[in-house]
Amino acid sequence: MTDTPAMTDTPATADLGAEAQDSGPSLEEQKLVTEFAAEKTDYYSGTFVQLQQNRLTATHVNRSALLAGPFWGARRGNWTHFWIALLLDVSGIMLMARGLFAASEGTGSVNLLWGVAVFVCGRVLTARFADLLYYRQYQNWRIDRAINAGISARRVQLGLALILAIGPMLIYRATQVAPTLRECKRMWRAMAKGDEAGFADRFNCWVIGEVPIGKNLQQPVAGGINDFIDWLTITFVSLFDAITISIRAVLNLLELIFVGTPWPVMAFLLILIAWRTAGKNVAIFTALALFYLGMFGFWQKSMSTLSLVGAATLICVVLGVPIGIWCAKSPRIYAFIRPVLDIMQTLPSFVYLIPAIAFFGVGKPPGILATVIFALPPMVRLTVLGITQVPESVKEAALAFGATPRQLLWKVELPLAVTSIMTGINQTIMMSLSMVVVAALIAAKGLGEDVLFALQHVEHGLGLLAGAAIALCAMIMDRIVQGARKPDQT
Amino acid sequence: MNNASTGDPVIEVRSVWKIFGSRAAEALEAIRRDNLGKPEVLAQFGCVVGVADASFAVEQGEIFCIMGLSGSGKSTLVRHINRLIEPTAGEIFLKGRDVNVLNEEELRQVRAETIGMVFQNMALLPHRTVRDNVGFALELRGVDSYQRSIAAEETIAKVDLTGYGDRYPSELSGGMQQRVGLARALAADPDILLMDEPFSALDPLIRRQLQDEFLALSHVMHKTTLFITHDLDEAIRMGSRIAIMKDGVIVQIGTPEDIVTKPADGYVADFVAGISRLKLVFAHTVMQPIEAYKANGGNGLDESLCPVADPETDLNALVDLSVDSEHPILIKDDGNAVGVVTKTALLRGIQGEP
Repeated sequence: MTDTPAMTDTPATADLGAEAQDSGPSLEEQKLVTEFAAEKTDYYSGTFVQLQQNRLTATHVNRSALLAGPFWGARRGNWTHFWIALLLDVSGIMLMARGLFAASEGTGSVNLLWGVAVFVCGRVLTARFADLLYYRQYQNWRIDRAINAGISARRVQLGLALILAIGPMLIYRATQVAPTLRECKRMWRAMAKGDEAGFADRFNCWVIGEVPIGKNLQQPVAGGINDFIDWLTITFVSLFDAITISIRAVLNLLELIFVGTPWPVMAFLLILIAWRTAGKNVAIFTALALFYLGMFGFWQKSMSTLSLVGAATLICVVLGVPIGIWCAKSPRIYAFIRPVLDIMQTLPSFVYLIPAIAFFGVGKPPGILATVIFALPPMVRLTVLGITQVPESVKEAALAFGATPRQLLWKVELPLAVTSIMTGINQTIMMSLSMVVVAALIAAKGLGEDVLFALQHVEHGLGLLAGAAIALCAMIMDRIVQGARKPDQT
Repeated sequence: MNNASTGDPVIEVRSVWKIFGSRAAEALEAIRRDNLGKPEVLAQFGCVVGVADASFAVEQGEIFCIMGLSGSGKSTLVRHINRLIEPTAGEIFLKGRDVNVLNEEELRQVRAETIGMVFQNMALLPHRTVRDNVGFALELRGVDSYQRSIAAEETIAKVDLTGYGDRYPSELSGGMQQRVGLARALAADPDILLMDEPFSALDPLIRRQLQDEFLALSHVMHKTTLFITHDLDEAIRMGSRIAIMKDGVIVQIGTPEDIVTKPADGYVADFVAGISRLKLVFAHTVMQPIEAYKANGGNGLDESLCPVADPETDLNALVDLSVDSEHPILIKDDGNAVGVVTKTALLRGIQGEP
């Protein structure tokens, strides 16, 4: 019984399918597009089919979008189109306004033409892609009916409100020359004395140019920070001294190893280590690199740089791994630490070199500290990554066999995170080496000193040679550490 | 084996509830008060009911299967036994000892010494050799390396992996890795084995082989085993008894024969529909009591010509007896005739219809 109507249905749907292939959309699709587009449904269902068949011509434009610009996007609820069209429209109008009203020497007509071009091209481009954007909106709408569909006068009003909120000020700004803060201050002083000032000038000082309160806040706060740093320097002098002494102790040990070992012994040991950990090719590379360092007179300075980098790396590992473990165990702590790491990595190093000098004086220890600030974040991040990516099932198994939290950490999590931690050490070494020139600014010596000297005396040749020496040091350490990592990855 | 006579079951689970979500306690109260269903709990409290009022007891040496489809709560339930998951309500006793009141150190001791667990995804430690994986539980308890390696080698031999002690898990096939998983669970000689779908990830041939080997091993070692599976065939092969779970609720507990012949509801009946009864159903289920048989006109039965079987003979063996004789099979218990299996009854019994 139930089979019979289905049987008669089949040829009908097959016909529809064939028809759809040739020209129009299927009935179901047509119904959906009608519901979605609400207006001009024939145009959109036809266009969508053309899109699906890749038959849309290069000259195809949506005429409503061409004429209405951003309003088309607003009316159809396609805010992507709205914002792009608005941006291009306003840019064009701004350029035209500048060409017409801002009297600058001879560029007026160029600006005007350029503005017209931007406006027209913008309209054409957005009208060309309007249907593509609209088709994507349609697809999303089919998945989630909460997405904008149909046409709406309320959205047009919203679009108009947005345009009015943004457009006029932008276009006005294009016709004006922004006053500097100094000019404004002069005007304000004159006004305080009772002079009259034009509305346009007053308006420009408030709205165009610098936000009018910036400098007023800046000076007292900067002054406060200065006082605070002075206070810290005096109050915690013994703490800073203790830090300096401990860093120097680490550094002295490393310098004893790197600088204190005669060059033939050191070269032999380095090549041997490279060979044992990373193989023949790296050993040959190391030999050649060391030959370069020796031949161009960079040996002592390279060794001093290596001990500097070694000390920084050591401190990074000692601080970074425990912090990383802590962060991995407590998402709340990590949420707090993460922005700190971002700041450490992005803050220009000169900014903290200055307080470093105040606290620690000049020389190697503050140089190492500055390096640690820059090179610590990858160590922490990669430790966190390594520990959090230990499979939950393996941890569960360890707990099921009675592991304590400490055993879980030492016997399961850290061993499984070791690859990631080694990558962190590698990153830290690379970043430390990139800091040697900056550290040389506060008399941290080493290869950076030569680069700095070359910079100050315009010695191109020396600069390049010393720079190459730094790069070679980095590569030797990188290859050895990476080589040492591989045998563990069974 | 002697423990069996002392009365306390090795594992006893009493009305355990597990509700996931921050408002679990509230949700549980509401469920008890208003008899809410799973969807209402999710809608009203944002809580998911994992296990609902589960109770069962496992005797010494028994293999107790918990069977259910994904999301039925079987893996959640088994993790309550060693408290990898804390119950929202209810009690779990291991040999009469309440697991919920153990402090952390006691719990770790129970986990390391009393319970061995095998996981579906093996969960071996990739940086350790097979021997060190097997000796893991002992290592956690501070057993020295010498003792550990003796115990590990012994267990490795039990699961037929002799010679693989110095290999890494990644060098082994899936089936061999799961043997390591089993050896790791057995190494500390625990009383209880928790097996969470141990053979589900293996291909059918290896699965069958490991099932057989585990049964043989279990026969010798008499470990009380809680065996989780989503495969009814496996449950029937392995289980002394089977609990069937659906949506967090234990729908039925019984021997494989009970489950197949007397399904508690349509859900279980659908499950067992395709199962072969030949080795699951026994003479006592299909036989007609001798009195009834005689009352129905079977007086002409010549007992001396009938093949004889005892009530615990399975249908498979009854078929063998039946094809050799034209007479019905006489069922004798301790020498007394208790019932008769006619050819019709036998065929209907195989079919699963009365």
